[in-house]
Amino acid sequence: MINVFKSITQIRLDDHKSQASEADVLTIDENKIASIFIPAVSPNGAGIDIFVKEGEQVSVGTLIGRRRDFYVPIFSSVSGVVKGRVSRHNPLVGRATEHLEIANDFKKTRAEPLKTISFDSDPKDIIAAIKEAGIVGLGGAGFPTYFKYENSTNIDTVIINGVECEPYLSTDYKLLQYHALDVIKGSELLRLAAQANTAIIVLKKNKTALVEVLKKHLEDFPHMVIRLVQDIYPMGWERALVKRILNRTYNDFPKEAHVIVNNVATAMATAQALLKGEPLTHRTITISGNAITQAVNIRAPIGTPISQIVEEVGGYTTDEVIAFTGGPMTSRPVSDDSYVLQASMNGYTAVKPVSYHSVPCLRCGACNAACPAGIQPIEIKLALDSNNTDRLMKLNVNRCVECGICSYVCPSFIEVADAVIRAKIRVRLQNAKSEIAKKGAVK
Amino acid sequence: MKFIVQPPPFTRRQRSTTGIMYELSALLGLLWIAAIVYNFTIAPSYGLKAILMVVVAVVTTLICDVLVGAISYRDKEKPFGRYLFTRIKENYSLVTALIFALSLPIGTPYYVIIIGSLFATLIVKYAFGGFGANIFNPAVFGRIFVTFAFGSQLRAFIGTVPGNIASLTDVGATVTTSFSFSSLGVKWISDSLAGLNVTMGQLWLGNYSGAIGETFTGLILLLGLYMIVRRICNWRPIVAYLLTVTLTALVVALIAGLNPGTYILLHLAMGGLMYGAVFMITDPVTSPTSMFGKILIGVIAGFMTVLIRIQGGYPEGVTFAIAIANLVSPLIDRFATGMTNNNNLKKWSVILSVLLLSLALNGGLAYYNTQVQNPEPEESQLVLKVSNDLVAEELKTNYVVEVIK
Repeated sequence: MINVFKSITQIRLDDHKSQASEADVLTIDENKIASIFIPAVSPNGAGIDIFVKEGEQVSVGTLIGRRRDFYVPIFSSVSGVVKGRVSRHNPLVGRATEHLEIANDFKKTRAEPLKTISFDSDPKDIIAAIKEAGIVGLGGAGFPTYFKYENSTNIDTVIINGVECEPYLSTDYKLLQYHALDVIKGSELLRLAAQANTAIIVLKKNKTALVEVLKKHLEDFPHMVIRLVQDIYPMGWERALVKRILNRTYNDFPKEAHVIVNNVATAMATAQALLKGEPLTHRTITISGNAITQAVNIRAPIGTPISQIVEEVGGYTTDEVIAFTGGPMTSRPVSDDSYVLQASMNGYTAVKPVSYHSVPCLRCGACNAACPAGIQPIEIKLALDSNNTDRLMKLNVNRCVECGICSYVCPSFIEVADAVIRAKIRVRLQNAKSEIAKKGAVK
Repeated sequence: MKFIVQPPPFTRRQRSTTGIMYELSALLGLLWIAAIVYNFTIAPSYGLKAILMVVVAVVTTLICDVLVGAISYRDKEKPFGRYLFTRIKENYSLVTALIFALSLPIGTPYYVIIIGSLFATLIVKYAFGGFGANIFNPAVFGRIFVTFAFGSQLRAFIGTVPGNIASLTDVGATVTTSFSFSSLGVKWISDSLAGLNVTMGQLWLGNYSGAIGETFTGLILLLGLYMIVRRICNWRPIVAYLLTVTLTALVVALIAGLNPGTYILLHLAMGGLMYGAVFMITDPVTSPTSMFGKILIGVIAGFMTVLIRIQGGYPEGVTFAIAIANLVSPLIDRFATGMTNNNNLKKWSVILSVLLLSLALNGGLAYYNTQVQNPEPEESQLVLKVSNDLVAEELKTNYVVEVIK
């Protein structure tokens, strides 16, 4: 039934993908990379324990550190010498953080490969292997993959998300084109790890060419199916996918609906780490936007400064650009391109500046009607402007997934999404404060 | 190399408030042209008046814009001319002026138009903070203001009552007024156009006298459909409003024993109902932001419109009903706090209870006004009465008296 209180929930965007998705994937010339920088802080702000000392020799795949909050090992992506720590901007954390600098010796020597397993292994061994390989969600969130599998029971379906609904990005598309078998193998491993009956690879309807590629390999994997979804935004969002594919809803995590959702890039990384013993040291990134000379997908070692990658593909076409760390809807703006490539980054987009002149809100309610999470962005903005934290809590601010639809549809060009994100921070602070107050009362 | 930082998303839909507002102005312009053409068919002086009425309203609101702009000019670094230009461009006073002027009858004196526009722009709009901050629809409140202050001046003719306008009565009353206060029956409860000199076709086409823009019911309906398709306005308040009026009129017609089809068509075509539905209640600034609220104000306004029509002291109830809907909008926004896709049952029950209240109250009033207060003697009853008199006097048998009772 159509919900008259909500109207259009998803919106078709101009995808701007063709240029990068039609070009071949390039590989960066590693001999030009003098040194790489591995952030010593994880995207959520947690620290990373560094195991190597200054002057120590490392190879491609040497264990150099581990996250403190989750068990995620970090590997070196080049061979060379650890030079020390430098401070660099990290857009995922939102400030300058310490990075470990490793000078490249251009020898590409490889460390001992990881322990490999086979399809017959015990699910627990597969999860342990995923944990040791440091696999994180490569769709953008960077959430540790093992954690989803270790803490879920009664899973019947694993959804492998290849929707890539953000404009400009085409890494998942290219990856499925070039490494379809690896993706399928990885999906099979993830399905076995979850002890699920089926793994569903989800693609957009307009990517029929990929279906042909995938179907060739699917005969050997009877538990795997392909499902197509509409070309709308935000179709790649977990909640939207689970609803669309299985018609199930959940409150906090997909595991409540007996589903685990992973990205195709994660599946591929799993296959390469578990079957070939290669840890995640390189990734493909889409460099595009109308301020980029040549929009392409390029494979580079993790830790390469973005400025070097952009130089490799021909640089910018204008002197003034708006640049961001992925697609135009959800990613964060960057104030320069000196930051480094991290595992969860799937794009770098630079567009010619467009300024939007905002006018007062006309209360049309377009943002309320379009919000896929079902909250009321403009009411949140009004409550935030009037410092009304109580009302913010009643308006379910925490449900926001920062998809950016509200700002996108706003005819008055008001920064609604930005206001909602600020409101989320405000509510989080308020919750922390009241918790501290409660603890104080107990003492 | 320069990096410009602005908040995400970095792509926006190419649909701007300015575009919406000027498209709406263009549609109102079409209505104005229809009014000019019709009034030229009566007399050249009528046609000129139709042109000048709108021009006067637009010029007055523009002067208000300049005045308020001059008062609020603070940022001395920005040139005054450019500041004023953006201010005028982004306050969309043109829309207010057009809606206000087109809702007035042709005989309205210019000073009434000027005072009304001043009230609408300065008091209703700018006193609350200009576009986006006004809590009442300026055009609606301007119209209500002139109805109260200059009610007797709002005539549908210029000078003396001309002979060539068939739809006006001898004293110059418009169709809606004569229909509403017809001596034939109870207020607004009649399905006959007798004595109004207007046909149902005229009521929908608009070639009769009334408020210059409001009479073109059919054209306004088409403009409304265009606006819904182009997403200039939300479909919810229009549909909810028209549906509520239709259902309530249906119940009233059934209770009062009228032809339901004719009665519903009369309700929709008379007065400013369609004009209010398309151009006044859809004003997003004075509506709730939630989609639920947008439906609810339509239902509330439909309820109040029929209530004022059949029970109120004024011939028409549309502007008052919309004013009441504006008034409850912030309240509805508070009520709709929370998720938009939860509590659907609660939301539907609120909407349906207002609708049922409308049906019950208006139906009850129709019953009271026609059956209890002014019972029309029916033919069969008359015959019985006569026989009652005869029989009672001459035969005086209990049997016959009981039968008559």
